[in-house]
Amino acid sequence: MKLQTKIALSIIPLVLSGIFMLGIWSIEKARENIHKANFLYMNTIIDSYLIDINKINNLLVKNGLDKVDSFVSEYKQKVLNEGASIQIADTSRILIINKSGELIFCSRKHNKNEIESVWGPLAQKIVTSSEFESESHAKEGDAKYVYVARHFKPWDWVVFFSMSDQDVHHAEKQIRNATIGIASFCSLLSILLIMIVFKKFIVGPIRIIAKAASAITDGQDIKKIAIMSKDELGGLARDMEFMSNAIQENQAEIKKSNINLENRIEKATLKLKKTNKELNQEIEERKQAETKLMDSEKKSLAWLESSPVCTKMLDLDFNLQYMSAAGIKGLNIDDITQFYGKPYPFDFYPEQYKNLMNKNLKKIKETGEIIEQEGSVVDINGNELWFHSTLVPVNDDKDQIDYIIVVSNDITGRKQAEVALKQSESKYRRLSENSPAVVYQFRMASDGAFSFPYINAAVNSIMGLAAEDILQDFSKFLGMVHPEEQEMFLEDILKSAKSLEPYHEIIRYLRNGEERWIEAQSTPEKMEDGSILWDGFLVDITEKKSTEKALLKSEEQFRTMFEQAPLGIALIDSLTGHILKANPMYAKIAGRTREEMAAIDWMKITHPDDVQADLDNMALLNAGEIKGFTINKRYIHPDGSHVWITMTIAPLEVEDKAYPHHLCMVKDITSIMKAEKDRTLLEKQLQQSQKMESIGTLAGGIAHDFNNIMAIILGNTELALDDVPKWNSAYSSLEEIKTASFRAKNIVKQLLSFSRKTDQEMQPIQIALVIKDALKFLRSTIPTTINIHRDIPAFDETILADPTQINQIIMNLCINASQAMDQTGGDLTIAMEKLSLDNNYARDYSGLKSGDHVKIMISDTGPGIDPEIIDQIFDPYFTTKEVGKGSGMGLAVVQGIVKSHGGAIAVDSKKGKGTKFSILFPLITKKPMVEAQTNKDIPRGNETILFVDDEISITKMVKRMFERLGYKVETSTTPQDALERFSLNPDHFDLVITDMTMPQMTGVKLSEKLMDIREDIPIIICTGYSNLVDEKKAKELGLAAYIMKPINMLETSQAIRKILDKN
Amino acid sequence: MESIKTYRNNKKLFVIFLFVIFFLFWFSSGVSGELKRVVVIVTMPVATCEAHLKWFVTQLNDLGYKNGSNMDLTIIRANGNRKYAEDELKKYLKDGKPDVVATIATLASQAALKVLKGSDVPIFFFQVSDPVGASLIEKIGVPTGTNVTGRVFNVPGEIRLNLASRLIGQTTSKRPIRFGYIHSTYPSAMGDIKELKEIVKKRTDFIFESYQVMYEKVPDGVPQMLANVKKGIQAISGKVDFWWQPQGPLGEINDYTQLLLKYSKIQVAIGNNQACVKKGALLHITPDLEASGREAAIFVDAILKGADPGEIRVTPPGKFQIGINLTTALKLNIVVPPDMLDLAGDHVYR
Repeated sequence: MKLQTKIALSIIPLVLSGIFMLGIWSIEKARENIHKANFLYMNTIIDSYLIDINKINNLLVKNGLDKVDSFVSEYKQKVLNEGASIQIADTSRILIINKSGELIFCSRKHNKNEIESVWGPLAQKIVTSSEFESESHAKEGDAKYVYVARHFKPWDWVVFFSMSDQDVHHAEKQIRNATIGIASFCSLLSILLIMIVFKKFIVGPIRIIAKAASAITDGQDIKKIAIMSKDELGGLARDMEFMSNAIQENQAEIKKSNINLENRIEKATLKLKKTNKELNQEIEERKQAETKLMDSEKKSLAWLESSPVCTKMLDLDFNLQYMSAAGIKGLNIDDITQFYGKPYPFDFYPEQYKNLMNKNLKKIKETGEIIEQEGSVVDINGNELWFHSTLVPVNDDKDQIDYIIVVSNDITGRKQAEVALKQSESKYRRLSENSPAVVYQFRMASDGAFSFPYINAAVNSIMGLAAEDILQDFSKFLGMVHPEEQEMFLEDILKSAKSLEPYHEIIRYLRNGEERWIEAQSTPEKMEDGSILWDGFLVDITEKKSTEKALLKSEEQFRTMFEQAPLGIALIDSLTGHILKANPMYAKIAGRTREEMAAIDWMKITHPDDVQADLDNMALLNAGEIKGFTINKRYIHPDGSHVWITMTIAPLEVEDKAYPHHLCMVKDITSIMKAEKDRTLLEKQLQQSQKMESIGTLAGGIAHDFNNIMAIILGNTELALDDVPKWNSAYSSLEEIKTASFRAKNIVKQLLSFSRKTDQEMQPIQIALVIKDALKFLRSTIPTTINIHRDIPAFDETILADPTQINQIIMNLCINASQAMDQTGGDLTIAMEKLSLDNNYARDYSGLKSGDHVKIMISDTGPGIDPEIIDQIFDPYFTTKEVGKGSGMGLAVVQGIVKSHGGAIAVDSKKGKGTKFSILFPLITKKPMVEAQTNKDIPRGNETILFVDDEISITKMVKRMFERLGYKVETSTTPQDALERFSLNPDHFDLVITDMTMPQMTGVKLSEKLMDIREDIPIIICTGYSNLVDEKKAKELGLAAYIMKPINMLETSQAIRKILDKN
Repeated sequence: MESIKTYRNNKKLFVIFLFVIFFLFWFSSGVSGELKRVVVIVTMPVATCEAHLKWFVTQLNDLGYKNGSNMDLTIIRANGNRKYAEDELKKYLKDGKPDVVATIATLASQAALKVLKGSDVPIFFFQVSDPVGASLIEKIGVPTGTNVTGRVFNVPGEIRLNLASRLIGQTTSKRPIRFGYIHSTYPSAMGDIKELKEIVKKRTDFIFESYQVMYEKVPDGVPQMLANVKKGIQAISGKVDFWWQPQGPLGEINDYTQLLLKYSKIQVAIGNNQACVKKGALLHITPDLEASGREAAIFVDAILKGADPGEIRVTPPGKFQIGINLTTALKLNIVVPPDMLDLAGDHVYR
């Protein structure tokens, strides 16, 4: 059996069984995956649909619409529409069945009964069972279905997704048949391919290779093996071709090498024999020459060895051939033979010497000249030696230089002396040349001529003169000396020459016109020839002189600054605080002379209240805890007055720490402090005026409403008084209400007056009567534990005043006094006297003029006023009472009223001894214009009055009030209504009384409109309070009268009568 | 040699890489330490303006701008007074130029443009319904080429009408349905009614009956405007089936919706914002305030970092907000379609 047949037979079963297994596995896997894919597909579709259903339901639930039928049915329809739009296979369908088993939806054409009979029970089972098969099979008639189901609980819907079972199996069958067919075809194809491949690519080439191997073994030259493939067999064929070729080439090379080797051995043997003969002849000649030379050398050597001169012999390569004993000894060489034949100069010689020697040796060799040289070397131990050497060329018979003799003398001693001398000279020269000072020798010859034997170059940099010029000509130096000092300069020299005392002068000279200074110092010495020689130096002290000058100037400036400074400056002893030195301004501020300042203890001129702060700060400063301090304090002048100063103290940083001083600066700030005080006062006044403004605004705001209310109370009280007989106890009660209502009315008036919201009604009044009237009400408001004493003389003195405000003063002061005594009881005294003030006495009361005055005194026996707060008691809002018990306005109001009446108020109080207020008013001679109106008859009438007020209570009350007086009254609660009534019949009304503040239209506006209709209609305007109208403005507008609420029957009826009678 | 060359090349690349990383890090770190001067002009104290301002500032903070640290933020409240806004901005300019001026609503934007026209100070406007009508820009959707850019604060009229059609269309078979539109002379309101009327000309389902009242400064002029609205209600309530609230400050006023419902028996179909829907309007669709406020801050940030406002296109906002009043819907027997209810999300009121 052939090879390929064997291989094919062994592989084919394996291939066939592999394909078969693969086919079986594929069919099984495909069937399984078809099933999974089907269910996955159905689950995906149905879950996606369920998500949509759930979303729709959530929308309903979230928005509370799940019970709203219209929304629910619409949204369910929306869900079914979505179900119909789902894209699914033709044999698949979606079914929705409710819990009753009724079909709600089917995505395909269907038979409802048939579906309900199969799927209905299934749906009911799913609805009722908590666990159900969500994936299963069902049979509908002859058709089988696979399905997935979901129970949507909120709506009790069961949603099915079903697919025909036949479709699923059909797909499986198709896959199985296809797999078997493909597997069979693949098996046949692979068998065929295996056979072809083995025959062509493996078995054929192996046969060719076997044949070629056999030929190589037989020694044949194989050039080419017919396998052209590039695989392993092709490679094997190429290797065998190469092997055959290599075997042939190696055999030829071995033959050629053998012939060449034999020829070379023969030629070398002949050459060696000839050379041996020539060498033997040369050795004999040399032995003879050496014997002659040794004889000559022995003679010369004895001479050289005994010479003190070192002699060396060098060959033309400058190798040492010989050195005499003197050299060996001088260089401390133990064994000279070690240097023979080696280069000279020796390695241990300094580089400089070696370079010199080598240079000269080369020169000898080139020129044949004898050369001398000096240089220092070191011996073998490193000691320096100086040699003077002579280098001599020695020629041979042919007059060619044969060798070189070097003869050296030791000159070390001489050289050392020369070096020492040079070093000494150099040192002094450097000292002189580099000196910044001018070093010089100055000579006065015996004939008196001056000259500089020596002067160093520094003279050029200092004086600008060349040293050479001065050495030659002394006059050039003299010419530099300042003309004013030349004579003195020469005199000083002569003086030194005569006395031989050292010359030490400062010389002023001019350099380029600039004045400069040098300091000259020298010592004279008399020489043998009679001349005097000065050795000395000159130092430039120009800068020092300038500094001294600048320092003097600076000191002068600082002194001037100190003396003329607008600030007080002083130097003080840090330990004692005493003033060591003070400038004039300091003394002026302290009100003393500078001498007094230096002698005085600082504490004595400091205000006692400020001393401690000073001490504290000084202590901190001296302890180093602060680096200085600034305080405001007072200095007391000798006359007892004081000035305010701001003082800054800081330590002076001086080098002499043992003597520390402080610098003290003071500035007079008395005017600033005063301005500050004034500013504070102004601020306080501004605040007070703002407070007043706020009170005014508040008062204005409430006055209108308050007066309206009071109008109702007062009016109705007056009506009630008419209705109630006098014997009835209610009558007196009503009287009290009426009285209190008047007081309330007055209080509002006062409040407005105080806050400048209304004008005062100043009139001549008998002050005693007014005070007595005020005191009538007092008893009922003051506790019985307080005794009231009246000391009111019966005089008829008159003052110009608003009686209401006088009443307010008395009430405020008396109530304050009673409150001071309400815990303890006590005496309250109200007294009055007449007095005449002269100018001196009047000055004690701010704002008072001399003349006759009435003095009202109100005193109590209470605890008195604390002296610390007595200055503040008239300040608005200042109170010592508990919160809610006092506004802090009482005394402020009193003071305001007194001042507005041209009077003055004073307080006298002692702690524990009570308080006394004194009020002074200037008397006038004018008699009272009005007297208290009492018991007057109320005038009556029968005219028609239109009364307008937006407060219905007031209109009702006024209507009743005037109708009782006989008037016909029509009322309106809106200006429009009034206007309409009036327009209909303007002549029907004799008088209009209108409120000022009403919605939509003010009383003034209404009046204007009414007067537009009927120009002569008399109008009374009344108001609780309005900043838009007052009595003056009412007159300007042409109104008949202006009445303040609350409306008083008497006043109003009088005003009405007056107006109507006038018309 | 080859390996040395490669090493050097790699080293160079590595350095470039580090540089790029550093640059990206620096760039992504947001804001440099330089103090940026930002001015915000708010037209008037109405809820929408305040919400925009709040989200604008919040987003700036989120972007790393901290007032007083790296940003000097100045807020000018015009209170409906354009002259005041101009004066305040001029005063601000005396202390130096701002890096950007952001304007909320039309009046503030017009004031900024008047003061800064032709300058190099960038202006970014938002909450402007009709920037072309307000003469802020020439065309929507294209770069302005000037120092002014911004975002249009408007839902296109076609969209609003379609939404209205889906709901209001259920209430009656009568066509056309008549909407009453009582508006002020404020520019955005004028632009809005113009747009709506243009659209309904091509449709048969709706018509608009409009009534115009004079714009008064907010807040002082609100009572006067509402009084005039009352007259408008009396004038046209007999001619309309539903109310449609106008854009601009009048529609923003809290009492506007109540006024329509109080003085007429007609329902409000389209409100101006959530507050209107809460008070009874059936539907509102407006740009999302948080999104548009934040978006404005992002653009301002870009401008502060060097973006050219002239190259930024003026476009409508990308995010809207729908609000639905279910009580009104149920009252009108309207079934709100699920997709609209879903879009409204949490803004469904009963």
